[in-house]
Amino acid sequence: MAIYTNLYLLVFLPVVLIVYQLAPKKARWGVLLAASYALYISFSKYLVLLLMATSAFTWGIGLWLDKIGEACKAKQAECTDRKQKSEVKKEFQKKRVLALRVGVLVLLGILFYVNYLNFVIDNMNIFLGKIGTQLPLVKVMFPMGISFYTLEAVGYIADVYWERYPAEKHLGKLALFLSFFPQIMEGPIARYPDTSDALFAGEPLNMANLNEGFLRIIWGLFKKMVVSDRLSYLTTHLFGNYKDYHGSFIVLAAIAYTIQLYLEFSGSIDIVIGSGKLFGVTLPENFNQPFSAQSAAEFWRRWHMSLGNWFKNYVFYPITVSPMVKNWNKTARKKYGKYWSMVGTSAMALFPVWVATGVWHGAGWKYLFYGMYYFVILLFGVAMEPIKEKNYAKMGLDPNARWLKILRILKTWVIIFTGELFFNAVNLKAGFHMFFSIFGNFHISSLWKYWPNAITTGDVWAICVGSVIVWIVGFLKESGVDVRGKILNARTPYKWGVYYLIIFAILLFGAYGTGYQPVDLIYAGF
Amino acid sequence: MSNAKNSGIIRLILFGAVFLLLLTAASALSTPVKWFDDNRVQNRNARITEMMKQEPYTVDVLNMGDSLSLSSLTPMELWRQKGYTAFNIGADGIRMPEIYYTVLEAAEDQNVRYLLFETLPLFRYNDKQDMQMIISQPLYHRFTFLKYHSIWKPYIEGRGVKIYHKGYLINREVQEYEGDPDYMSEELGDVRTEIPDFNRTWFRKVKKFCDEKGIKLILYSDASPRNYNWTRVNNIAEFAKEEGVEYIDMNQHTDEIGINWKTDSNDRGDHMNLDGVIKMTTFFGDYFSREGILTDHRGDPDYSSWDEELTAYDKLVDEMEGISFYHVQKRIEKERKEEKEKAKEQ
Repeated sequence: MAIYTNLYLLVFLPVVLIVYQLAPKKARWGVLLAASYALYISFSKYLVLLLMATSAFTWGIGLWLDKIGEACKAKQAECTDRKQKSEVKKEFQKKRVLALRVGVLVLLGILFYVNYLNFVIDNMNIFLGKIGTQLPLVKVMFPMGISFYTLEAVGYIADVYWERYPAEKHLGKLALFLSFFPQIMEGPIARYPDTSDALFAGEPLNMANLNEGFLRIIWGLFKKMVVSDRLSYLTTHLFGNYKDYHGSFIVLAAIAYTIQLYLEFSGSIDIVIGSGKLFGVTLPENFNQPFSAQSAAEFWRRWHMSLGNWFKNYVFYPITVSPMVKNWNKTARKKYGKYWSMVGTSAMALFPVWVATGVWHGAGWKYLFYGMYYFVILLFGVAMEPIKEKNYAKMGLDPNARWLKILRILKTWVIIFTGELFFNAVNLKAGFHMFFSIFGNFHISSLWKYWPNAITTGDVWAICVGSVIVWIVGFLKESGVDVRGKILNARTPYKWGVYYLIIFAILLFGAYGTGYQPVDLIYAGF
Repeated sequence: MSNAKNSGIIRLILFGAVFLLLLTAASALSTPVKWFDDNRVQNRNARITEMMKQEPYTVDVLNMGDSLSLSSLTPMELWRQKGYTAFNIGADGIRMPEIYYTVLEAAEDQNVRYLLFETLPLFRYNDKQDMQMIISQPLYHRFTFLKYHSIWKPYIEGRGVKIYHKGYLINREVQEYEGDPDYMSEELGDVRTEIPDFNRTWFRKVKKFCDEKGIKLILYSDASPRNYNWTRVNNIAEFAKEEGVEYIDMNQHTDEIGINWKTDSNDRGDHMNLDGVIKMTTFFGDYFSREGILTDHRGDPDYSSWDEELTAYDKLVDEMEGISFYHVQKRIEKERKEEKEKAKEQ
């Protein structure tokens, strides 16, 4: 039961809202947990046991870390001098590191087993085949949302280890955080303090939250059903039959897929955040007008923000402050100067982040390439930053000039479209084939001569009009106009008018009904 | 209960009521009959829309199922041979909930005597899609606006082309079935051979409706080496027995029907082409004659439109030797495009 389906929107969500409201305040978290597991079972059946086990394990590791901390404090209290205290701390630190390692390794081990083991075996078999042997593939069922809840669980354990907050004593509360039904499928990846209090508070439903949540949900549906789903018929066809098309169609495929992915992912996140809001739970935002970014680095600060923040908090920063990087920094500064030390440090911290970002999206060389693509671009950006500034000054250009901003935005678009071309290609080889066909076989006229039957003129109209509406709303938001706030604060007839307008636009122009193949959420497969 | 709470609930109810009112009004404006003359309805809904446009109480037989059913009976041939009126109301890849509501709509203003039910949809089940249909299909049935929501597309793309003759799409392509003629003993690969409970339940709903309307429900399996074998057929036979429904397996009557697998299939043993469909139609016609329930309407002035349609149908059949309607449709679209370009140049 995906979050965009009528079963979720017309039955599941209303029933959970009613039961939640009717339940006593203290039991409401239980209603949410039961609903979360029910939804999970609808996808992954008995694999809900893995989710439960992960929750219990994460909770146990948290308590273990806390216990070590308490024992350490108790023993330190018995110490008479600082040296003794420091030795005790060292002794217990080892135990804490052990607990952290056990927690992280087990969680990532499960993720590796489910997502990556067969990829590794497949690649090993290429070499083993040459000596006449093969490893058998492992039969694995894919537990929905494992990439999302695993990162949340690892983040929780790391935060408890760093004593950012105490471990949660209540198993149910932690289980609800890891399984909360709107976000289990596609995120956003939250940190424990982001949502835990609101999830457990059991506040009654109120009109303000219902209005905000409802508006967010229908806006998300508009993005997905009117634009993204229609585009998916075109992109599925073009990416699946790339050899039949000229470079102009490949460029179209890359642009169309990027728009499809953005509107689908941000649309489903709107539904997720809207669903959470109905219960008074504010989930973290995942997008902030990513196509207004003026660089690849800025794009990633505006796109899938919760994943970016996770890698920043739990990979990038820890590596940056690790002894290895600190030592490099020190030595390199003396040996090669400040600039190269900065570039080297950035490379050391960015490389694992982008390897992880790439493979987090899936087990495949194309995903690894996707990560490396951004690693190279971002590192290049870091390396060029001082040179760029100097050049601006030399040429007497104002870096904030509008035309320069537009140029930078366009350059970023090219980077994004190219990245998504590889991301959605059938495989890495196909990605390169598509990429090079842009340069060797580009005929703009083939766009109207050989337009595929995958979508009709009507679909194109719906996509264009829908995209323009979404772009206008995004542009207004970027310019500081709070469109959503204005609607929510408007008088009831106007507010309802907007609601009905959006709903009827979805009902009239949405891609749904018999004859339309429902389009699965892309990120739900990660 | 506090006043704020009361006011909130009243607002929610009022919002829902206004929405239902708007949806009902939009549905009243988008009734298919109103739009069909201009071929504004999309292909999948075109059959049922044309069916609902038939004169009340003139259709004797409804033929339901997925694409196999659509290539099992040509109503114009049945009319020519026996004077019985039939209509194909199925759709490609149709699923059980859609079948139920389509039958409901098709039989509403008719005095249907037979419902022929091709059995392949009984094996089609996907919990993800079918569970959604439990909700969507009754909504589409109640609010036609939802079912015909793509009605705006032809206003941008141009009118559609009339391609159905009482729900039958002419196909005269020939692609020989080269497999074993004794295909019923073959394995079909990774396909479902048991009828899921979900489909049994929905079939019972169809049967109940037929019983109430006095319609004789007949299960039949189209002759199709790609889709049937003994395992499937035996399971249907058992199911039909349990439900007290007559079952005809065409695969066991191919000699009697005269199916020639070299000439009668358009896609290597999956579906029948026109030659095969005519033979199947003759088989059904003879069956109805033996039962003696239906009346021969030929010569009845109330049914003169059927003769007119038969003339148009025959003309098209002659034009389509060796090809399917998709070729004709493409040709028409090309001609239209050329006309448009000419007009632009002028």
